[in-house]
Amino acid sequence: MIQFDLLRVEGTTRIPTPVADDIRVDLELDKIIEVASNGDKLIAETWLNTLLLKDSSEDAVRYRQEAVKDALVNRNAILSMYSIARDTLERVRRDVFIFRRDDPSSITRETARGIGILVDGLNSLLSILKSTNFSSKAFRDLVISLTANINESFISSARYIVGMFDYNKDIVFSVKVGSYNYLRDPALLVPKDEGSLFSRLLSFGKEYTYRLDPRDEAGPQILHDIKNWVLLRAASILLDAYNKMRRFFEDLMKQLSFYVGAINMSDFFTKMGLPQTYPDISSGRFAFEDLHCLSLAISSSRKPVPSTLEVNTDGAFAVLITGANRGGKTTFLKAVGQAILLARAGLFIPAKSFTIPAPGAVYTHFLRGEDRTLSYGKFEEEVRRFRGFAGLLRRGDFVLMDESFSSTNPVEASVVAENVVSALADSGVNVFYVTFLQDFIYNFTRKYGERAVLLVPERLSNGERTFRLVMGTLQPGFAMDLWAKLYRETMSGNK
Amino acid sequence: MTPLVIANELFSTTTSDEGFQLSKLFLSELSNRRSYCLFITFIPKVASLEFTISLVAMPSPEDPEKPSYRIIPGPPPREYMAVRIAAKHQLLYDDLRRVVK
Repeated sequence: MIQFDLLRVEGTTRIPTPVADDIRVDLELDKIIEVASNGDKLIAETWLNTLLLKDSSEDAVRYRQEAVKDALVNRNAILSMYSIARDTLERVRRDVFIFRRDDPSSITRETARGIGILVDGLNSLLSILKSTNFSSKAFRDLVISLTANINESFISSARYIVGMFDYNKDIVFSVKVGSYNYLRDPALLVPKDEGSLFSRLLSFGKEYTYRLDPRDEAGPQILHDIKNWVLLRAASILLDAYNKMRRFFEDLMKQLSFYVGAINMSDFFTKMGLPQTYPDISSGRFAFEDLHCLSLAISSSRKPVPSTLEVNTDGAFAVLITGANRGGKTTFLKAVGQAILLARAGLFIPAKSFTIPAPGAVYTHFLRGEDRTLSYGKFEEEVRRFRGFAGLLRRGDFVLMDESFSSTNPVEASVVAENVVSALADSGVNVFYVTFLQDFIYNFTRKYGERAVLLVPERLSNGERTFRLVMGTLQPGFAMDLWAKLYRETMSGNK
Repeated sequence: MTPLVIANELFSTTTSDEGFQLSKLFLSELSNRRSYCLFITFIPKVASLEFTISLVAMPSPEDPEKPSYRIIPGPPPREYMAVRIAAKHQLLYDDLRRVVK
């Protein structure tokens, strides 16, 4: 039994669909997956499933991370293995037709043909694995398991058995006739080596033969039935072997597809000149330096303005992002979300460095549509959407909110936002929230001290926007001062 | 001639405390100048200023979460509709604390 696990995702599930679809749309995952998959549907599926895993442990992340590094070093081996698996399965799909499940003789012939193709594939795989020096546990275990189960003698004996059921050859078998003329002891026989023409001439006339009357219509049918009876066990063994081998190739191809996607993505990073770092996991710290928004890099085909952040706290934190529009707030949110998803999948990040406290899941709650009119109906839809994933949240997860609860007036929305974000932070869930809800920002940052981080778009002294976010502070009394100043100016102007 | 000033959601880009302070300054100024003002606000406290007449946008009698587009004299509602909706869907502090494991 060949056992391997290149992804270590067994036992974990994907985030359920309506919630997963929101994350996919909000964080523009399709753009990322398109680059990774390069049109390959299997890669796209594996990437989406791995990015949207509900649970991920630190061990699993490190396991995949090590394997991704290994795959990038041994990229040619990975790409060859993937194409061998793909071509082998393609040949099997094209050449093997098990059209009747109740006909042992067609099953043996077809599965034997299939096994022949799969054994060829195994042979090619083996030669690549032997000549590649993998360093990760994931790929080393694959090599160990494959070489322990498959060697040259296995391959040659498999080919020999397969040869017995070749369409061009007769199947040789024996049966004994028991009491009441019942047939018993069916046995498949190894075909005799036909040898040279001379030896065939010598043996000519020495076998027992039988001849059916040309008008005997039942005779051939009976012989066919006897042959099928004899082949029954062989058919089920061959079918089982064929299915297992095919499943091995399917699993291998699926798991390898993740790493082929990583190779494609790494090529994209190189082409765009994006930095490529593997994330650290360190409790109490969320920090990154020069993080780029990957989906923006893909859609704009240039390097976006990077962001830097450092949060050191015990327990969960909330990063509140506020300030003028078109300052890069939503891009920042997407960059963070995408990076966390890549990090927990074991992939590299477009940043100089990236540290997360734990590989928690990411959930998104983004403002929908361009319609900014306020209504309780829309607010209720927002509340419902939030409630849709609230039950999935676990300590260490991340919730990314883009102008959540802004479909009602800011005074009321602030009260709801304060309830929600405080509850999340107190339950160990980290929050990133783009918001203009002033009451909420003011109350929350005062109450949560260092666990609340306020970010605002940077503006240079000449008023120019840099699309970078910088640490901001509350400015209590600013509006009052502004009023007083303008009032004084107006009054003195009126005099 | 008495001027009329119409202001829609003035001072809503600051906290509602400051918004209230500013509304008070602004409306007092107008009041001192003997002018009228139609002042639309989400800050309930503004309606308690001595020189104001409070009107309120009524919710629809059939569905309290929908507007009726009727504006009638009366004090601001004592509870926030948004909070009521959040409570209905169990999205307030205690609800979430119970749910998140």
